[in-house]
Amino acid sequence: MSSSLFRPLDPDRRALVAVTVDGRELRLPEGLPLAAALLNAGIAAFHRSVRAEEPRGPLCLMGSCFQCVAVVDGVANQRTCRLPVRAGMAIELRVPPVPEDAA
Amino acid sequence: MTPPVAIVGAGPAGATAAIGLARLGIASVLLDDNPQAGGQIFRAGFDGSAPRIGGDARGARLRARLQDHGALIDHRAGHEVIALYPGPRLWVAGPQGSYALAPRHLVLASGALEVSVPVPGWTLPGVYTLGGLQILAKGAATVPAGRTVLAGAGPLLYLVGAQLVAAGVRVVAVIDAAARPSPGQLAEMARAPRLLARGLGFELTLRRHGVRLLRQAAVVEVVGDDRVCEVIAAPLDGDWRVRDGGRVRLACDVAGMGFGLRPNTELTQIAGCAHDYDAAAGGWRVRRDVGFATSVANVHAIGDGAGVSGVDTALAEGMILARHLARSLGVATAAIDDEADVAERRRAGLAVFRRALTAWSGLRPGIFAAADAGTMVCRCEDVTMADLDVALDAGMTLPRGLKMRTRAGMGLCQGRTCSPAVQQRIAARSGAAMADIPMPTVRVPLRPVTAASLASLAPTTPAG
Repeated sequence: MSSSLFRPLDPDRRALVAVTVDGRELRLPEGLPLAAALLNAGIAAFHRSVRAEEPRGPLCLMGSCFQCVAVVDGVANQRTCRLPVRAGMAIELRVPPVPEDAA
Repeated sequence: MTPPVAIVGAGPAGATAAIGLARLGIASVLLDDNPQAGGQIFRAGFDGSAPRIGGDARGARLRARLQDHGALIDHRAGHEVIALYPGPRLWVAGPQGSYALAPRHLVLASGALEVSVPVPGWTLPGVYTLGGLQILAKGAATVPAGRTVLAGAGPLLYLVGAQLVAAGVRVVAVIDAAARPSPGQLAEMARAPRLLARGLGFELTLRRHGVRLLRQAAVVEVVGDDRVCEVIAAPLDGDWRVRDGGRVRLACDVAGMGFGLRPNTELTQIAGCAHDYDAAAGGWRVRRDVGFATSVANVHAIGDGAGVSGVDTALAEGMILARHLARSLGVATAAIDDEADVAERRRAGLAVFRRALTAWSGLRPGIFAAADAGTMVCRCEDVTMADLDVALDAGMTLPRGLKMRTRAGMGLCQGRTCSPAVQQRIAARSGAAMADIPMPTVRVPLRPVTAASLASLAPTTPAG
């Protein structure tokens, strides 16, 4: 599921830091909005919807729609579009699988 | 100590107002939920760098001037208003916790929201608003890697399309619900020749890159298993109702969809301001006098949040408001009078352009019939069109009743995404005019906030 989702415009020279996504380690550019970093890593779905349990991902990317929410460091409903990537972040999407080639 | 003026929103309108006031020696607090000033239109890279695409020199200039006036403008990035009370008194959630502000004047410049139209499959990951794709590109230098379809209506459709193809994105098609602008509309748009030329330039860029352009058409279904893999487009009639036949299937990895902008009224609503329905301004908008004062004392509203009218109007309104406020504070305005006069004239001139733009691309209600019974309307609470219809059949004819019955609009986004579709469904089923369907009520806190953050709002009087 990782092919052809998003890409950085330039080769990112930002330092990569280790985070975990559903327990698996990923290296993401430090400081980049988490939503963008996950999309660049080929991850489209960030949570499952409350009743239908459908996979859902970011929509507006401006903090309004809450479709990009995930559990981050144990805190629920964090808007990943507003959250910069930090070393050691534990992200829980609970929407397996994390793509093989993103690590 | 709270400065005399608090401004919410550091986009073109709010930032210009802060700068205008500072030039007259008036201090302000400028609250904004983004990491950098500029709003959506002048968005910088998340780290303050110039955006790789879609940059605008006016945005960089605005940010530089905010810094130049740093002694009088207290720009607080990453701060969100969570409640608003008479006075005016604000509760703000910042990175270090929540706090209260009690300015003498409050300026609301909260900008616009994009209007989404639910269609089957629109909740699939891989569907973004047009603005969302632009924010990723400008704010995070992140662009679609694969085949991309853009659909909806309005200038943003062409702007985003031109920006993405220029960045090397493979835009398969741009699907516009509107027909080509009529000669009369083009003549009116030509009253703002620079803006018209810019718009036509976007279309030329798309054609040069071989982008397929469908007009009077819309995406009527998004297809995919757990991600978008295809969209189905269909022709529309003059009311943007889907016509039979002529289906086009387009394989894609990313879809951008948006049907224009509407004012973000949550702050003016919670402040208790009167609102009017004005389709040309994007729907419900706050009522203002000629000085941009709302019906609530000392609360003012400017920019797209007070009626969608574009960045040039927002810049003008910021400067005009700075003069009005200075006068009411008894401060001489000579230092900005020339610019405020120019802004007044410019704003009046732009009104004709806006009218033509709305006549060409303004949202038409037929498009909301593209949803079927199973289409999710409220994404936060998973409420389908069929759920809404059951409640409507049971006699719930106001958004408030529908919300109680179905939970539509009760989720994390508080109805910011679904309320246009809910209001349109009520209108379609009841025959009521949109102006007779009130906005859903807004509740505090406007954003989810932790108890720990709220705790810092508690009175700091030491316990006896």
